[in-house]
Amino acid sequence: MTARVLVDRLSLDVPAFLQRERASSGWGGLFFGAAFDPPKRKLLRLLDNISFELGEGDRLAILGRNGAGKSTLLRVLNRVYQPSEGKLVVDGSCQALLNISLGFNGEATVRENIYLRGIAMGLTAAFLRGQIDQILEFSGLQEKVNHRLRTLSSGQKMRLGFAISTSVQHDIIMMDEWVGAGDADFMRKAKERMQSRVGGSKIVVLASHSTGLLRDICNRGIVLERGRLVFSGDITSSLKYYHELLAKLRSDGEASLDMPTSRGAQIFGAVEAISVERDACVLRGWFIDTEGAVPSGLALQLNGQRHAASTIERVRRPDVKRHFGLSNDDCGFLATIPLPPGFMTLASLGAAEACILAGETIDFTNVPLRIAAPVAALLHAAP
Amino acid sequence: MSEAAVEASIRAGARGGGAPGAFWREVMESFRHPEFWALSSWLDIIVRARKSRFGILWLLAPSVVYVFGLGTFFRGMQSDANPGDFFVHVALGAMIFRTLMSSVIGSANVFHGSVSFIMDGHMRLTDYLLQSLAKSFFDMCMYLPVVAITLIFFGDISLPGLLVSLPVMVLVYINALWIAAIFALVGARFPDFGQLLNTVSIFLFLLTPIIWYPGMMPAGSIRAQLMRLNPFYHFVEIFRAPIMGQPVEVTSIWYVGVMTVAGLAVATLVYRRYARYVPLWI
Repeated sequence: MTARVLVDRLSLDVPAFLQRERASSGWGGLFFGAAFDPPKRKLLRLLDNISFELGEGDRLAILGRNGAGKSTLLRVLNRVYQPSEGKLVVDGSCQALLNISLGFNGEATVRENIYLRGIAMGLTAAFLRGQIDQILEFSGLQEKVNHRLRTLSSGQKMRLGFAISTSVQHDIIMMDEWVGAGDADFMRKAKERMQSRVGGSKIVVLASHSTGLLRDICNRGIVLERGRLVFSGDITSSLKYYHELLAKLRSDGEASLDMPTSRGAQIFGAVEAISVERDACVLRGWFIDTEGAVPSGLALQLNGQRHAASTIERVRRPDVKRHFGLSNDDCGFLATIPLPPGFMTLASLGAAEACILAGETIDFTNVPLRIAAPVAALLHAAP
Repeated sequence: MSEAAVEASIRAGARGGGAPGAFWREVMESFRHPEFWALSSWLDIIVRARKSRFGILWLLAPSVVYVFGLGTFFRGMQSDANPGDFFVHVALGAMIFRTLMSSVIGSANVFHGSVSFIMDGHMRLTDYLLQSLAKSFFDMCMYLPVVAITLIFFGDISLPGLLVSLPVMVLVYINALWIAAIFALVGARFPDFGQLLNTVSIFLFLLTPIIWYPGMMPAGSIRAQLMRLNPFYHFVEIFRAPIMGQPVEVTSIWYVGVMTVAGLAVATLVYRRYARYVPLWI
């Protein structure tokens, strides 16, 4: 059977209950208002007239700000919410990785919970019996198998949920942000497994804020804004549209009010060249954050101590702009960082575990940038 | 093995396809794929037992308390009662009442309790209804030892009545199914509904002739009419009277018959109309 997702003029109305606005005169009024005011019913349109079609090989990125309807759309595609209008056809077995650490019975043992979750996913008990060892091994919980689930840490629960949810290859995978967290060892395993699951599935739908990730995985994109489909196209043009949309909202001054993520945006980038000139270190590279803005803080960390950049010069990088579909190409940097005495060569920087950190402002740098392979080789060359 | 056969051995088709709403089709599918609701209700039950030292003995405790505790206490107030008969009367009455009431209360909370499974796309909602019915069936089984003891030691039972009680039990469960469907939907929409039912259940227990005889109500009085309005009365009567060798009132049979047909019809309609809203409500 060929996998297919067809969304045709789909809308979703949701009844919402609003508390009446009430001018409370002090504490008493506030308490009584909260207790006795009946909420008012109102229909909200969360998704409005959305159409697209996915065939085999399509990897769709759902872009949009917080509250634009990304998760809601995923839930509709997963057939949890029924569309109020329009048509939805999903052919093929489908697995959503939306809330993988939920859906357990806390008092039952780990083994019982594997059966419970597996059967809830639609697997047979006979098949699960053969899978239990593999799931336990993957989540690293072999010695916990007869413990009650309640006694597991939240990280262990997450690992177990991940191992169960990804134990079978499905035709269609839907994800709300890339799953996989935990200690370094598990992260590596989870990443491999996800890549093979994503590679093996016929259709992938991924909602994320991480531009780099979407660029790597997806080949198509749609942009949602207030429940409407405002753009649909290939991934590069979708990312470009999304970043332009964000830039426009930022310039309208709406961003600061409406975008709680603007402070939580993730920064990423790379250092492509490094050199030591007299008592300063000169770095070249690029960095952006997940909303397409260019951060302004850069620091070099040596032996755990940060040294802020004295000058940061912006460099035009049309290649980076094209790759990520950014709205401006101002994301390259040429930075000079004064070095403390004693560091004269690149190898001495490497020996001091040099690490380049970026951040929103010069005072707040905490995200390590990727160091390109030639630069790493220079840093770690034998003295 | 062909690819399709491999697929079938992995996937039980237990998730259900399409929008929820077709009540009967979904009930049938739930019966055909009982894995999910059977396992989850069984886990809920054994987990309840596992939390405590005496385990399953605790689950037997309510029946012992109701029948022998309350029974002994209230027996003294029944002037004309044969003491042995009264235990049988209480045991059978309490068992049916408990079965129905626990499916009603259980189903009112069942969607809220399963929110993570529903949100994960396990959308055949009848599975959750059967889950709460399976739990109430287990509650009933916990009454069976006590019922058996009273029947053996005190009972003056009629064997044909015992045979009749089996189809009556099936009838009670058919009714429990529509009650569960409607109450689960109402409970999903109004989360405080479960609490209301808990409160009302005590009143209904006392209103139903379990620890007293229906004959004590003066015929034609308001209290007798109130008793006859109570659906639990009729369910308890048509189950209990044949076993104890007493005649069943014709009104009770009519009442239960009409309620079965009307209830199932209403459940079908309500389910078709409102099942799709459940994920939004919870």
